Amino acid sequence: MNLAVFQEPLWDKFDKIIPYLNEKDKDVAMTAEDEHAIDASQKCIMCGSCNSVCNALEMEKNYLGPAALAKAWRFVGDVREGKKEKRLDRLSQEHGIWDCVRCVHCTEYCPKDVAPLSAIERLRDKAMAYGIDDNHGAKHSTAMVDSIRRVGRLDEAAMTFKTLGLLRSIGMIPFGMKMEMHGKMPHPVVLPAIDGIDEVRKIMDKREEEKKKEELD
Amino acid sequence: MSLKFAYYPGCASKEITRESSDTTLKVAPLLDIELKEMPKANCCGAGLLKDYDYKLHLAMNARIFAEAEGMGLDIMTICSTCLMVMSTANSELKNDEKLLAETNELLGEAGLTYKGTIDIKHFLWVVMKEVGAEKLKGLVKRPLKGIRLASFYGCHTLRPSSVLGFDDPLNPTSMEEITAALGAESVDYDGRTKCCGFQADLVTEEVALAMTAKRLLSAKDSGAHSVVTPCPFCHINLDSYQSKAERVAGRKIDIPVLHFTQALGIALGLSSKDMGLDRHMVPLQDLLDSI
Repeated sequence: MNLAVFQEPLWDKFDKIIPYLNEKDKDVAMTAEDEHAIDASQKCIMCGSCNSVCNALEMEKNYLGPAALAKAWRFVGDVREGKKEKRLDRLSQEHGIWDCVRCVHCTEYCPKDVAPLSAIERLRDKAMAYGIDDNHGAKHSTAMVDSIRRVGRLDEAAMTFKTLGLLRSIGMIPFGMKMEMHGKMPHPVVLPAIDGIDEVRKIMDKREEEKKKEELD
Repeated sequence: MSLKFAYYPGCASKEITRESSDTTLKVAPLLDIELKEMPKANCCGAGLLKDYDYKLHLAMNARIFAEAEGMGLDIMTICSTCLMVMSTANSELKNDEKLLAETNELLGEAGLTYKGTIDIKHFLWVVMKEVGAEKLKGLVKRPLKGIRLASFYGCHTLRPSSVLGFDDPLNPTSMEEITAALGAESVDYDGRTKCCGFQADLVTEEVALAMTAKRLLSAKDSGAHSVVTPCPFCHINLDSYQSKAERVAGRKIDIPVLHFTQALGIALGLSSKDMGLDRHMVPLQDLLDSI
C-alpha cells in the first residue's frame, strides 16, 4: 500500500501564501516571547499529512489548506514581517482562512505538533483585528460575539441574519417555515438573556478596553 | 452511589435540538445520574469566539467553569462542540499559570475567579465509563433488535485526542459498544469519524451540504437503518438539513438520524413524546415500527 502524500498541490498552495519574510524597513529585535508565538508553525516538515486528512480540502480542492495556512501564520505572526495587513487581506479571500470547517483532523494527525487549526484561528483573529471583516466567516464570528453580549447565548436567528444579510435571509424563509413545522425554527423574537448577563458584559467591556491598547504591528 | 454533574446542554440543545436535552433529563435518572442546572452559564462560543479573540474566549469559558466550581461539580455536556471548546480552554488554563492569572483578571471585573479544579465530560463518556455497558444492558426494556445503526461520532467528540483522550480518534468504539448494549447492530462506513460540515453552513453552504450528503450516503449505502450521533450540531446537518443535502447530492437519501440520547431513551422505554421524536425533519416512524 502506498501511503505517500501527493505533494504537487501542496507546493502550489505554499506558493500562494508567499512563503518568505517581507522584512520591515527598520530592524526589529525578536524576543523569546515573539518567537514563541510562531514556534509551532516553524516545526512544519511539509509532509502534507494535514492536507491529506483535511475534510474541507476533501470537498473543495481550491482551499489553501492547513499546511499553507500554518506557514502563513509563521509570517503573519512574525514581528519582523512588514506586509501583515496585505497578507491577511489575501488570506481572507475566497478559499482562504474561512474555508476551514474546524474538523481538527490537521491538528490531530500532524506528526510535529504544528497545530494548524490554532494557526488558522490566530489568522482569523488577526484579520478581524485589522478590520478585514467583509466576508461571511468574519460576519459569522462577530455575530456570535454580539449574540453573547446581548443574551449570553447563541441566538441562531440573529446570527443567520447578520451573517447572510437581508436578501439571503429572506431566501431562507421557505426552509425556515419547514423547520417551524417541526418546532425547529430558531426563534426570531428576542431571546431572554441568561442570569448574570451583566457579568458577561463587564468581562467583554474590560477585554475590549485591553484590546484597544494592544497595538497592531 | 449516584453520579452528580453540573449540566451544560449547550445552546443548540436548549433551542433547535432541545429534544436531545429533554431526553437526557429523562434518561439520566434511570442511569442514576443527577444533573444540576447551570442557570448562569453562557455560550462557550463554539470556536467562533476563539476566532474573534482568544483571550475573550478563555474568559467566557472560565466564567462557565467558575459556576460549576462554585457548585463543587464537574460539567457534563451533551454537545460535542461545547465539549471540545470547553475542554481545550480548560486544559490551557490548567497548564499555564500566567494564562489563568490573566483570565482571572478579566473574570475579576465580574467578581469571579476560576481556580482550575473542574473537568468536563460528555454524556457518552459518562455512560461508557461510569455507568458501563454491562449495567446498561440490564436496564434495557425495549432492545433495538434488528436495527442497524451507523454511529456518526462528530469531529469534536474525538479530536484533539491529546485533550479529549476518551476514545481512539482513528478507530473509536464507544458508540458501537453502547449501541450493542442496547441491542442494535452497528455498520462500519467511510464517514463515521468525519465532519458533517456544520461549522461551514453559513459560510460556505454548498461545501457544507456536499459534506453532509457524502456522510449520509456513505451510511445509507452501508445498509444502515438510521444514523446515531452524540453531537447536536451534527444532528442539525444530518437531519434538519438532509433535504438540502439531497438537492446537492442529486438523489434521495431518506435516512433517519437519532440523537445518542434518544437511542438510549428508546431502549430504556421512554415514549416518543418524551423524546420529542416528532421534532425530527426526517420521519422516524418506520424505524420505530421495526423495533
